[in-house]
Amino acid sequence: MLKLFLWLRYLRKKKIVILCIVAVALSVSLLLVVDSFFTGLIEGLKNSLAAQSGDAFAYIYGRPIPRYNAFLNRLSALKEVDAAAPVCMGGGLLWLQSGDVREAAIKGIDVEKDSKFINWRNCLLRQKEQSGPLNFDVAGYPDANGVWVGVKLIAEPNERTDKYDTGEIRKLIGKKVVFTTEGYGGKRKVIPLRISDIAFTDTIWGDQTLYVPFEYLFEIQTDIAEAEYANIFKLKLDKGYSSEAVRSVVSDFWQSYARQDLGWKDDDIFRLNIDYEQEHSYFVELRKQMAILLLIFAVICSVVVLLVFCIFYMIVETKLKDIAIIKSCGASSTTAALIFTGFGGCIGLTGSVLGVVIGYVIVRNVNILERWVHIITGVKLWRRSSYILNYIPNQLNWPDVFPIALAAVAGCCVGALIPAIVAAKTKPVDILRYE
Amino acid sequence: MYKFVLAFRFLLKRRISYFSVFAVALCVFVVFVVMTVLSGLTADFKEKTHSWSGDCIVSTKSLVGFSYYEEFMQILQEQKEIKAVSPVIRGYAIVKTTSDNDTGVYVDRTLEVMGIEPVSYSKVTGFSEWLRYKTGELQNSFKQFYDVNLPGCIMGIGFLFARDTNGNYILPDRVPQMKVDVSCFPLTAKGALARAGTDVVSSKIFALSNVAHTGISSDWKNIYIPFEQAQLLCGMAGELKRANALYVKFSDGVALNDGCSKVQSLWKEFVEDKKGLSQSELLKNVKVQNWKVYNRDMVAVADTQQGLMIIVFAMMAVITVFIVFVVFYMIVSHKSKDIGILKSVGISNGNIMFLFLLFAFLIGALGSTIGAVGGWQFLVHINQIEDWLFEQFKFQLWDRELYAIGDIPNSIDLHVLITIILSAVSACLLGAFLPSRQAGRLQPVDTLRVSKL
Repeated sequence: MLKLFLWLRYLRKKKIVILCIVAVALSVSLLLVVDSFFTGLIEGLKNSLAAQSGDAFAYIYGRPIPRYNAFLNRLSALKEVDAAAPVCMGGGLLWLQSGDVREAAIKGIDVEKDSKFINWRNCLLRQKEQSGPLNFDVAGYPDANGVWVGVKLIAEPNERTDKYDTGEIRKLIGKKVVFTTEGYGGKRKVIPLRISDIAFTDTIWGDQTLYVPFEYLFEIQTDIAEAEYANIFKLKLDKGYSSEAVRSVVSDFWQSYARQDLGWKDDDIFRLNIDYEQEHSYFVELRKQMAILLLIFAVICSVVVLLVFCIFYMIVETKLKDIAIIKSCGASSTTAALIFTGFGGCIGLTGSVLGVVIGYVIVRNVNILERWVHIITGVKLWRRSSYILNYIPNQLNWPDVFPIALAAVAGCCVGALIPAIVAAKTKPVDILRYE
Repeated sequence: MYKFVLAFRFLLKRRISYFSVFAVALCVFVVFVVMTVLSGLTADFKEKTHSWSGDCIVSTKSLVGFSYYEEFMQILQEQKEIKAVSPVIRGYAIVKTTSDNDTGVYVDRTLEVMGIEPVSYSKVTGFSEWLRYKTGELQNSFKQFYDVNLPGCIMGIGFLFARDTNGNYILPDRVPQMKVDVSCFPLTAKGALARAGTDVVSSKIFALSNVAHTGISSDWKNIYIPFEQAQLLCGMAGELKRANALYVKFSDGVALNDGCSKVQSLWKEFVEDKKGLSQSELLKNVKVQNWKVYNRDMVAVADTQQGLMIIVFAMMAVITVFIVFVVFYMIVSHKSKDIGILKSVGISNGNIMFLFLLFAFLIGALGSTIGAVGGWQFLVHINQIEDWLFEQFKFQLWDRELYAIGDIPNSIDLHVLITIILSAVSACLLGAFLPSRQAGRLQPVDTLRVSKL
């Protein structure tokens, strides 16, 4: 009780302690911001990759599957698979107007199934505000082949503000464009299209792609005009399943489906290959870079331990008489030491709580802060049109909050340890006598 | 004199000041090492990007290109601000290598094809330094001797060779024999795909004559072929020849912005002159940009990283100010009697303040020196340390198979070092200012009386 009373009293009376709390809070918030930023960046990249390409790709070489809807419905029913959708991709040239031709990627998507991977409605300029199923319709052109065009293919952001002029871009809806395929089976095809919508996908590669209905592009690529044929599928895995386990489950499922439902022979069945994008060493490397950066910041923040030490040393020096009085009333050396280590912990806790709050506020409002920095200084910290992700990650990485806060409390206790020992060794007889 | 003696005495006798020195040294060490490595990487990356595109680029994003480029080149070459100009074709092609080649690598993908004139291109860019096999004269860059009937091509090194753990490409002694089938999309001036006809060729086989190592992403994206061949394959070799870009190098001493403004105004006049002529509408799509704007997608990332690092290091300076403040606050509290004695023998407030600021300066200077020397030693051995870490624990700061980084940059920039030291000393002076002022204001009558319970 005495210790608690003294902690609170020191907290209230010793203004210099506020400096300590501020330093701890700053360090905690700094570490949280860096940690959350990198974690968000890695997660953002993984999610956008997963949205575009799935957690895994299943290829069936040479021979497409008929009635893929039935196959995917049964595949999605597996508890390891959250969603599955067919995809086909390619590249070519996009003619925008006379004399203006750009390189572009093209993707065929099954809108309904693909919407389980990416929230298409939020990505589309025209259909964002509309209800009803998403479509490739073009107003006034009922027979036209509609295309969703990635915004980076048709517009450039303002060089100063880095923002797209959506008013101008909206005028391009309905415009005729022509796509020339790069040559499937050696034959280039010229496809006249009309812009049905503009896609803002939050990723640089997604914004440089054309999206058309899956079956339309599949037919162009393979010359198979029958419906429901596909040979590449992207899979969204359910959380908590290892990729190896899913690989074998999907493989087993595929073999039984191909044998029983499709009546395929073994030669065809083993053409399935599953490729896990998420295991790419790039993410491992990114995590390593994050760990190195956090280590550097942790070293920097360890200076706060010194700060706590200095302040506590000072407090102990100035409170020697108080300590002597407490000890002369019968308090043990351990009690005297605990007063200061506990006080250190108290400061660590207060600073950590404050740091978490500051970190949370910064992380959640990082995009607004970035905008303000731009307005005030003219400096664009995050050029959305140039980066892989066009938003700054703004989710606090909660799993790391507790370890960081705990480290801060421990650091403060360590900083207070030597002053606490000095306090414990104080002899009332030396301190309380007149000079 | 007494001020210097006392300041040194405080520094040596007060153990608490060692903590300030340590804190300053640690901050200087971290900032110095991280800034040197990051600045080195950023500067190296920017230099490579600059070297790849010259100072100024007159270009269009459209693959159709623009006409009358030769006339504009002539105008540019007459300007004293311009050192060299080189036309470039940037097209899109399906590139296939034959499987029976020396490297065992098979490429079948779409790439960016660049049509270049080796001699003029090397005057504008670092082309001659990129080539990994010596060719003698630059005009022989596309010559190869294993199939004299085929024109040569240069491929980005990333397609063909693997890297060792140090990030160095493992190259054979001579250029590997490899045939490369390049299929382009010949476009008319209006942007339509040119129909197969007597004068339109869209596909051609080349023989590998060299490999280019630019150190940036182009090593995995580009294939270089002779300018005339590229012009032909992209459908730009008609009556009115077209190109996609003009790369410009400014004369020595010409500032980037001045040079670009000059080219911009010349371009404006040129477009005005050509108004109404055939294919003049293609000139409207052309932009004149300096290399930083042109490569914005690449350079912006590096700039932001540097900016964020500076913000973080500014926060470190704030922490240093805090520490020095606390230490000085403590010292002043402890030395109140000494200050009282000094003032009672006639020392002024200003001199007391100066004494403590001098003490702060000594802490800053000593801490900075220790941090700088430690940082310098660490940087000198940083690559050896990384090698040792890799041998012992398989740990690399950057995975060389993923990043186009060779050695960790460790060349010391004196400007950066001086800025860091000055900032550290300033932070110390700033942190010590309030306690010093408080020390100067102490009254001997208060400080020298005997304490009572």
